[in-house]
Amino acid sequence: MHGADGHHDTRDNSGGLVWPAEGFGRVPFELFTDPAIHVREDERLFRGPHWSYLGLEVELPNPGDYTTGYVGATPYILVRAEDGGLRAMVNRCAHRGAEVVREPRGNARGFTCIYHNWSYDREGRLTGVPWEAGRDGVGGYGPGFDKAQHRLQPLKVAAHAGVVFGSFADEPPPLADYLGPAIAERLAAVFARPVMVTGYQRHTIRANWKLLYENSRDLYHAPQLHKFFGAFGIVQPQQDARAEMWHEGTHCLATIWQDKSGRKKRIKLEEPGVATERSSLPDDIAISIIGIFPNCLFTLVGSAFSVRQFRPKAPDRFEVLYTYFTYADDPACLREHLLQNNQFGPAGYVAMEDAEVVEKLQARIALGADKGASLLAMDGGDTTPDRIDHMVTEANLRSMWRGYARFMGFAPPDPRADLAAG
Amino acid sequence: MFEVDRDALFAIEQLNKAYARCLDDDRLEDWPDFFLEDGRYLIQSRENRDAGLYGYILYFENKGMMRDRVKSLRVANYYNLHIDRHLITNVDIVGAADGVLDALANYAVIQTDAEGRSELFSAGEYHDRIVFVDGVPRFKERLVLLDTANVVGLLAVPL
Repeated sequence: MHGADGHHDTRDNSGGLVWPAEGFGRVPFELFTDPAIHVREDERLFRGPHWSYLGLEVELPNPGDYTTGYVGATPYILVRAEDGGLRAMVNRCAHRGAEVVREPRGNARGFTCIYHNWSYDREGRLTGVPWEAGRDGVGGYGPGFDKAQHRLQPLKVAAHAGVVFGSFADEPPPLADYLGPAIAERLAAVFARPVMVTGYQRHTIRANWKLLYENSRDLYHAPQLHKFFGAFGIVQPQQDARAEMWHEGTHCLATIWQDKSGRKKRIKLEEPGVATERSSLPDDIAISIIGIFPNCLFTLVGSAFSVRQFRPKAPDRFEVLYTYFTYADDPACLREHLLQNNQFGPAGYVAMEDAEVVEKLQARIALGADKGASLLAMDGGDTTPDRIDHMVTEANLRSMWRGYARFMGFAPPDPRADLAAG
Repeated sequence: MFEVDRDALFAIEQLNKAYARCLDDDRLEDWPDFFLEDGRYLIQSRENRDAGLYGYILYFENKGMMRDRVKSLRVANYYNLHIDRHLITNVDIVGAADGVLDALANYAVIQTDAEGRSELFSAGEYHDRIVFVDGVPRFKERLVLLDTANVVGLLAVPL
């Protein structure tokens, strides 16, 4: 099922998965539990014709600055080259496959594998091989050995508004087209001011990665699950919301504008600064959540900004690397950021419940209910629109599954069965 | 060489024991009282501290924020059903200036879930600044420095 050589039958080409006839209002649980689907996602999504988030330009101001991370299962190094451009390469030695860079980030002239001291420059080119031509007249790799044939595998790199993406595709689409105009403009507006990285946070969640990626655009759950706002009299600006989808529905730009109704309640927190009273975001935006398929999620609230990089590890386990940032040109932003960030991350007043709910969901669907399916029928049953202007919906989740199914090569829901059921 | 005051060390060891028992017994409402009114409670990974970054998992700059936390855990938040077991050791005083003692301790927290499975949840170090008020030690600051920077699941109850 892993190739497209034309010799597999239809079932194998579709990954063995037939979408329920009801359409994208149903999501089969096996998408969250099947090891073969986990492998297929790495091939088709993370190593496929998509752009994955690698980092922020502000993390790498100087030549030689590097960070490391993962695109799906593949480790990478992102480095600032001599010419000021960014390069990305697989963090795996061309010799035996050992990890080359062991520190999460730093500055280096080049990179040397500890195993046999093969060394690479900042472009990922192999520059040094001990005993390449033998030693004391014996051994060595011989005259036919060409270092140029053995380099760290490169990724394509592109940046938009200081946000850096990488792709394993030979000819990925232009990044701006991939992001789509709404997300490209939002990122440009948010990053029009200088930002500072305030820290990192690693988080392991014992669930399928797609459950959290889906949760991040789920406008239905927010007031139902997260009681923090209601309990402390924090007015949530939920009058004016929009979800815009792109990349076959898999990206989602969710925007909630500041509440202009004049509703005022006394915040019952002893430290009201934890709640978001002032937004640093442009255009009267209170909250902007940007999911960029397949591995990137921006959460922009008040002055508490983060970008999360998703790293699937198994069908029922993934890690998130948070990069926290805020505006560097307004000193008030830093304290607001630190106070408001208590809402987010693995201990966050709001975010803790998302981790809890997806872990408990995973535990239930793994306990023999794997032939079941999730129900996402609110607001239109099986429609998959590219724009929604309210919060009382699951349609933007369905749109995500439409694109996911297409990128994974799954057979689409049978339209005749759908008509018969309707 | 800094000379440790044995009476102060004993009092700080007792403080840590009481702190651990308070959290392990789920008496969260008593937890803020281990701090001064303007006391700070911070949780930060070693990775962030070594890089000179903030990156606090929790950033509470006064006792009111701790009371808010406890109230939210009681009335608002859903989190994993569990019990905690704090193991605190290597308590030491490493400095003193202007009536504030700098103290360290190692900690490990073992979590047991609702079905009785126990796992190491977090290990790290307490970096404390302690003031004696009427002979009783109180935290001016407790920084929980996480070795276990990669939080598994979620972190609801204070460490």
